Amino acid sequence: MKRIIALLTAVLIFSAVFMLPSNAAEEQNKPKPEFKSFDELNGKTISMLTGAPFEDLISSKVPDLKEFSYYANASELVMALKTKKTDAGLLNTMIVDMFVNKDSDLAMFPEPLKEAQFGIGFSKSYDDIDIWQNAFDSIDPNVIDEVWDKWTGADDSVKIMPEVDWEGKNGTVRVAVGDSMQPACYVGSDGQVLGLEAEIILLMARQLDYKVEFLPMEFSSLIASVESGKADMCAGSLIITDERKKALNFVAYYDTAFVFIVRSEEGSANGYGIFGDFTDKLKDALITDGRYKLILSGLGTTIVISVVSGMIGLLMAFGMEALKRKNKKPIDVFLSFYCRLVAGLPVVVILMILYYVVFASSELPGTFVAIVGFSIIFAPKAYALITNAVDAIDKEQLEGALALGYTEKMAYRRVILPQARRIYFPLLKTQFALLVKETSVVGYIAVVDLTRSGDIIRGHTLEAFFPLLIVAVIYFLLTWLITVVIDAGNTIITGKRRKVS
Amino acid sequence: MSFIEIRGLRKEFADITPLAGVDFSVEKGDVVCLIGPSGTGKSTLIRCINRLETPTSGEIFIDGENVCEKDADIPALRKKVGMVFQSFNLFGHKSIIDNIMMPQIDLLGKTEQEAESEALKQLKRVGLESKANSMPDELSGGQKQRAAIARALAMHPQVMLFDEPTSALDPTMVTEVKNVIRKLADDGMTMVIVTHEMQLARDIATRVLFMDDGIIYEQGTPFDIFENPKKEKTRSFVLKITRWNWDCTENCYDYIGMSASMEEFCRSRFMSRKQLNSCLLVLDEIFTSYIVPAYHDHDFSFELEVSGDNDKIKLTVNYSGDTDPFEREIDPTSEAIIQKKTKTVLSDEMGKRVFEIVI
Repeated sequence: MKRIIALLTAVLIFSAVFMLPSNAAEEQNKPKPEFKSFDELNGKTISMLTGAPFEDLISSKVPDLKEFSYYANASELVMALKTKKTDAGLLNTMIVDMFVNKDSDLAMFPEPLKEAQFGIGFSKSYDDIDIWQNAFDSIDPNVIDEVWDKWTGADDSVKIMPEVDWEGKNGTVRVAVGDSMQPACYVGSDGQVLGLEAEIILLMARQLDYKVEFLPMEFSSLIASVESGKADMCAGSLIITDERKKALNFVAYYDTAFVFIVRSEEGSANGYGIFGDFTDKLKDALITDGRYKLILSGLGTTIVISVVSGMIGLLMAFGMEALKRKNKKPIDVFLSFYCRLVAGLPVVVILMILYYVVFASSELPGTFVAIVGFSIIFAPKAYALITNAVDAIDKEQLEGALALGYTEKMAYRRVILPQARRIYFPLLKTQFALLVKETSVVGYIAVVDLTRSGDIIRGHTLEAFFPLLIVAVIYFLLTWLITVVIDAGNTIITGKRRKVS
Repeated sequence: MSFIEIRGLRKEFADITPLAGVDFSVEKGDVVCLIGPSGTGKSTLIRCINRLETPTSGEIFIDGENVCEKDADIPALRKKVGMVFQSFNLFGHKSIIDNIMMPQIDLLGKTEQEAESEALKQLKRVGLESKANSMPDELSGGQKQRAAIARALAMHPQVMLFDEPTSALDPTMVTEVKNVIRKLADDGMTMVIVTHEMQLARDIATRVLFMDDGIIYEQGTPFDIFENPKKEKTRSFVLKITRWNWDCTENCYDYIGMSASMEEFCRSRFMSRKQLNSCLLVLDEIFTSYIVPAYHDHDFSFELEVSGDNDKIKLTVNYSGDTDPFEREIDPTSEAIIQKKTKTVLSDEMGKRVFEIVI
């Protein structure tokens, strides 16, 4: 074991030495791209976001490319670009502008691949889209350009939202927005929604005297939340496509294009190290803009969801065990159906069904739905552990208690369950630690938990390593701390052994 | 009415009837021992008394109350009736003292102090004070059983039921448990004991019930049952008798088959080499001296009866016909061997000769 640790450490130090040299000083001039024409991309790896349908188009322009690779979001793609895992990434001009403005190691490829338009999506059942279109048309195009430049620029200090100084006499619109889609829309460190599209929506709303309620959520949930009626409109650097037009109506607000982001000439010459400027990046991930607040509130949400649904789930499990002891056929059928159903469905699917179908029309917050969902998911697991542990206790223990004059119920409570607890408790603890980790998917239903807050910070800093590392460390400490707390609680519940002299 | 009165008790399962109509009664101060072969309903009977089993039909009165009625208060009944199990059934998650205190606190409403002093008193009675703080796992089988007895006693039952209390113990631990039960008998405790310990039953029982085939087959004082059993099955059981039989009929015999069969039987009784050789030698001499010359005139059957710890071996030869095949001159060497190895038990009946093999 010691030898393995020593070896790992050596490898880490060794690789760190090679990664250390990093970003040189910034230059004033616009950096030149490493590749300047489609021909130069032959033999290179080209990346795009998962699901983007541009393989054929790219192949027609770059016939001899090496391969395609796919990334879940822009910052991961850019990370791969900087670490030279890929050579060009297809994104829209808004994101490319921002990356290029912020990082001189990156540059925009001179030839756009395909023209497109950005739009704000509206529910098909929302009738007032025309007045929003009119409101947009009456905004001075220069204002829109200014907004664009502001949010895609390098200077973070000017990226603030206009103040809402109108009353909102005509009501409130609910807007689903991507929570980590910098610069279009993202969640700031204190939880407020920022971004280019968010500002444009406010500009329109000011004209119409609407109040705006932003509902930040994961990108993949945007359209579902509009379709299910949770929101009236949505924004998340949505490009208007025929496919999307089937689900949404659009107000187009800006022309864009799909364009490659590539390394700049100097970026290509530079190495890139995750350990590069360690303290700066760590500071950027935690301190800048008070991002630790986001982490803390995400951590709070994670704890609330796991602890509350763990408790409810445990209560449900004991209820199920009590039902099972009634020994009625229909109850048994129901219990095994329920357990199988939960065991057979992915956690995310259960959560999404609850959020977008069962509670679709209610105004319940995502955290509540998450608690309901994880209670439902945790209960059968805890029940299986408890009921198996109870079955493992000898029948003789029950007979011993009955023969003394205990009723069945009392014998169960005083004799069987305490002994079963010694069996199921350690397993239950592990299951609970798993539950804590499982809650990391609540981002799908618009809840910002620890994982999601890490994602959001990644969206801000455009840097994957440190937010992930911080989140990982916190999860590790959290699960460890939780087991310690549970153990302490258990000692108090079971009490000390009685001693007589 | 007696303290416990059982009338026409039956217990039936789909494929077996462990209790086929049992009647008996227990007076205050009685020590009733139930003996009998395995699987004859002894445990079922004792478990019916405190209703761990539900009888199919019949009545059980305890202290004048019919506990087989639907609305009988079973937990209240069980508080009056202490039970000791073969497998001790101590609560594994509680120390010995807690095992004894918990039921008193939960069921008799005693305070901790009362329960503790009662527990210590009963532990002293069974000689286990020093183990009060031990967990059941840390005790030997005999100690566990004594602790289980103390737990039952602490509830102040009016009668104690013992369901094979020493069967799960290895021989070195049987005595300590038997001694505790003896002491209880001396104290005048009313007890019903299912046991395979004949010595215990002989020493402490006021009445011994021999059960077989789901009924009480014979009952009486320990002397009646152990020294003077009236019925065949009882006698076989208490004397641990087993038999071997072989018939030689119709002018035909298979000596080799017969001796092989007897040898196998003797081995199954774990006879010593010497005992086995004596049996085979005696059979051989009797066969060649008496049977071979006479088998044309008689049918013969052989019976070897072994009792207890092989301390009594009897070879009986039954014969048919009017004449006595044993009334003849035989080879003097054979005669000497037979006389040395056996005592002839003179039988006044015709047709039967009994040789008791000298060990």
